[in-house]
Amino acid sequence: MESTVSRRQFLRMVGGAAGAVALAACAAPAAPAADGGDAMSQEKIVIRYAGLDGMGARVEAFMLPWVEENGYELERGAFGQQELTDKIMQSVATDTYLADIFQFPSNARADVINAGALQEIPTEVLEAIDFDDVLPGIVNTLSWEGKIYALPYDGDIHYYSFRKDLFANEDINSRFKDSYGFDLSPDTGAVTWDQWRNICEFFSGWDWNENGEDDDFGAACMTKRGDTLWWGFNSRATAYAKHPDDDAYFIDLDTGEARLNNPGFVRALTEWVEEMQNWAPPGGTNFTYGDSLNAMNGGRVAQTYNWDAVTSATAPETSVIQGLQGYNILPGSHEVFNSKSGEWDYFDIPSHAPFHAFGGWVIAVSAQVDELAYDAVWGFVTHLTKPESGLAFVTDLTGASPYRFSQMEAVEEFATGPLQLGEEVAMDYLNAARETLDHPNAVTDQAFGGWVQYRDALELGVSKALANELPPQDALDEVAAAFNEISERMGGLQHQAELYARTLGK
Amino acid sequence: MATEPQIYPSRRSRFEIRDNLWKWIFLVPAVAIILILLAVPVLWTLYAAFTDLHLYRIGDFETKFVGLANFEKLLSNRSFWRTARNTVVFMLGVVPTQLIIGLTVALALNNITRGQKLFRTWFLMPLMVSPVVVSFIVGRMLFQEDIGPINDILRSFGFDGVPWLTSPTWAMVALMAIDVWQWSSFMILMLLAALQGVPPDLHEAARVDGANQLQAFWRITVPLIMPITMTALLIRIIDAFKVVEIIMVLTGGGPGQATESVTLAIYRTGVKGGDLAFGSSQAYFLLIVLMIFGGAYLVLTRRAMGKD
Repeated sequence: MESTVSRRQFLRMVGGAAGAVALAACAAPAAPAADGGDAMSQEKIVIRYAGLDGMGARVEAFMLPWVEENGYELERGAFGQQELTDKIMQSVATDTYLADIFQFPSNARADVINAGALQEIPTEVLEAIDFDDVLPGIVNTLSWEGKIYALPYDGDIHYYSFRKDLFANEDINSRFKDSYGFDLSPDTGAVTWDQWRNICEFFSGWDWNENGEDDDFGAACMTKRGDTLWWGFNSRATAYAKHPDDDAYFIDLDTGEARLNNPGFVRALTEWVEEMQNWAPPGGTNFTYGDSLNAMNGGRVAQTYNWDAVTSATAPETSVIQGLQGYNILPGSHEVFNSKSGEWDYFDIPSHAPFHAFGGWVIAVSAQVDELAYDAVWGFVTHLTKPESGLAFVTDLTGASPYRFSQMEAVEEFATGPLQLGEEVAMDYLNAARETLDHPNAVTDQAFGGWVQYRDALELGVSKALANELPPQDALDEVAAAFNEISERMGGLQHQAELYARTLGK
Repeated sequence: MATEPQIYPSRRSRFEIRDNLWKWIFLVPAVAIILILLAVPVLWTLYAAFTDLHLYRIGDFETKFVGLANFEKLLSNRSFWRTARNTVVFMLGVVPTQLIIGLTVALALNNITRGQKLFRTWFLMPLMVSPVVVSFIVGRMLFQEDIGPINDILRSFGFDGVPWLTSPTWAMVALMAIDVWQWSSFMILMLLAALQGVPPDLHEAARVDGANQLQAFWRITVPLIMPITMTALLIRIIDAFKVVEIIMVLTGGGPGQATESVTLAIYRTGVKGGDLAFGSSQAYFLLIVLMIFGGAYLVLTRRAMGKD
């Protein structure tokens, strides 16, 4: 006999089954096992880490032996650079759990810390990682109102890098001196932005790389909107716009008014537009950070500034200039605009204002850390950021840059370790890092809340000037107006000025 | 005159009621979930557009009702109107080009007898690739001004390289080229399907009646493929209005603001910048424009086709 099920019967059966499943799902959890075994205590403690894709993989590889030795498990969320920042900002703003530990850009600290998203770092942890060894410029990026909320991982700054071999070439130098009246220095490269411009012009349009092609230019910089233009432009502008007698750079500390359209910034943009349009490779007004590095490492430009100019030049598969680069602090200027007096001040010795571009990735513990994992999480971050671990990261191709006094002395590890910089390059690199991070007139990156909006406003204006859509003054007038409008929306000019003072440690 | 027994309709009616009841029991949860998922964001965005809601404002700030302030700001915002102009230019550049390429290729494919399946699959491939990948491979690599292969070829023939990504005009052209490369396939497939639905007898009858090929195309083929063509066009127009991925990867909206679309501006303002209030007002503006356009488009096409 054939058994049949009608459509209605079938639907009833399915409905009944679905109802039963739903009820089961809503039912109270089962009681602990009668033998007294506590299921929770047998669970492995899981540490959840959210970080950059590449850097996070390095962290995972480094930390796995420690994690396994302690019987924990590690779950790593991997994100692209922009994606990670967005995820963290959104999780902070919406008060949702992202991970126990996260790596975040230090210039988001005002947003993240103020939202109460981070645990303050306990004194025992600071002692365990020898926090006094961390350079003051980096300590500032980990702190808020005198308290420490994050741990150091990366001393990100822009290094000026130049072709030492070309600058040491007697024939090239003599031709250069004939044209510009001073010697190319293989020890320092350009000391001022005026010298940088002379070098840009001189090295454009002739076959100095001797490959028979018309591909030789003075410089390449990060100029693409939505990529890293913010840092490319500010590194170019600080020497003109940051006065040694004035702590402020982006906005006025008294009024909160944007300074982005003052003559210092305008001069920087005017010169930069000329350099990128005339003395950079084709497409140089829309270069990503990677494009500018590739131009330098590919032997097509004589100078650049970048975070990874040092480490990327050592990779044989991507660089034809291994051992040929010199490094220094970013160039300075004899003339600096004084916003308080509204005049240009002249300095006999060039004034430098190295930009702590980005300020580095830092490691923090979420306020929503899983209670079960609490001790494991602090153990994890302590092991990750202690001096020995830090040295291992900054002397390898991890993208992390030095940030401790002790690392600045570790010439041998940089020279002969995985980076294989050689002693001369290692010393140049570490001197440039220390001078930048320890400089009294260094410029702290924007971190006073809403930094993504300010960044977008500046990048829009500067890219308009680079594309000849607006003259530099008009473009920066737009930027300044946008800054003031953003400040108003973020709570008012005065409110933002107060936050800015706090990011400067005032 | 015979009348049906009274009992039959009422029994049938009860049967229908029970049948419908079960349908509703199973339908309502799904419909409710869809409505909630649709209605909550739409209503919440509407609410946000009338406030000063900001994700990243630091300090004790209450979110305030600001009336039409965000829309007033929007209407007087030069930057927004620039993105609106860019979006319209992009749409006008890509959709007609895709229609022309789509129709031409579909007509050719419809007339070949061998290899049609192969070509159909071949033309499907661009649609399967993520726009981000297309932008990176076709866009950033091919159109790279310094060492990209297109400029390399041009230079090898003695021409100057084209400033694909640094000239406002050429950057828009590069974006259009990428979109046309990827989405012409959609038009080809839709129009090919429409052409294959045209009964061959009609063309034979027209030929018997003395119509030439052009007349048969205009009088028979075009009216019959018009409904699908109009639908495909509407889909592509709406997609073009919402373009974002290829711009983010290829130009970032630059040089300057030359290629920034409305959707990219909304993303930057609301998602990245945290200014949910102003971002929401921009999103609603786009939604209203698309609804008016879509409605007008449907009414006009129905009228036009009705006349035919």
